[in-house]
Amino acid sequence: MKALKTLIDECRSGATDYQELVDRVPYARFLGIQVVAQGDELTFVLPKNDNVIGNPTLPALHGGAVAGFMEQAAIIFILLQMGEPRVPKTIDFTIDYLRAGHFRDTYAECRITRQGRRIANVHISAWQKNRQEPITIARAHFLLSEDA
Amino acid sequence: MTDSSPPFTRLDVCNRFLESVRHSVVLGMEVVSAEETAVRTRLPWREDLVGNPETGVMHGGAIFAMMDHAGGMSVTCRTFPVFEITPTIDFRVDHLRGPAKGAAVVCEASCYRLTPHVAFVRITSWEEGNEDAPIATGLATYTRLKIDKAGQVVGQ
Repeated sequence: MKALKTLIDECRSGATDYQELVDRVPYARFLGIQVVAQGDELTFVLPKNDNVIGNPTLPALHGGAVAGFMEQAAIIFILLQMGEPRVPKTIDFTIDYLRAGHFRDTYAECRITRQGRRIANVHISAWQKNRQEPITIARAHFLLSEDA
Repeated sequence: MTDSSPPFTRLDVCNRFLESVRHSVVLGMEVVSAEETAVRTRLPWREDLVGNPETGVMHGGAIFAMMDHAGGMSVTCRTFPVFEITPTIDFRVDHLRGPAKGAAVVCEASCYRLTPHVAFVRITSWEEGNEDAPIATGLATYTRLKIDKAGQVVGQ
């Protein structure tokens, strides 16, 4: 397997598709996460699929699957934005559920609110129909590697 | 004299709840025990739930998903024998340390306060067999949606 640092550098230079970095993580493949880049902007996608359904009668997405998608989106975002040489560790993750997640594709974007030497604070927003009506918002802290 | 106890247990209800939620089933989640005061669930380690391929540690998202559903079950155990739909309002999880590669994660959820509209829940997770050293703690609120006999949500 290619070293993580090499893969990230290749993604950042455009030599390798971002999806290769996403697919390196088994759990990201399990959820089916995709990433779409428009210039420097990254949008993460959780395509609708039966495995992420929570309430079967509505049907609605499982809140835990949406949370896992958002957490992993933030991790990939940090790797690509900061060129972190190793996977950041999640310190805490706090999510507010604002609307039901319907059985359709879900999108997420990330914003680094504050990046210290060791800790990054990241805001993540997820939506389905339009960006202005998020279904969930989350805030998380990640521990960065000391030797970055 | 009539016996008013329902013909099913909290464990039955939690198992049925689990079976109906596809994502939890696909994760491999299991219900260990279900009492009025607490619910225990378990998530075996699996290759495709790994978050960091270098260490083999299970992804925080998979642990979160189990804790979220276990929290919902703990509310179900308080409202028993009535079953309500209880969407999560908010959830915070602190990852105290990573579980070892290969270790199953067990969690206990407890609904410590139930009001007419909101349930307050605490959740703790640890590696199976290592209950004294939690790997994650969570704090969550859930809202209570009543459902009628036809299975429709009341008051929506």
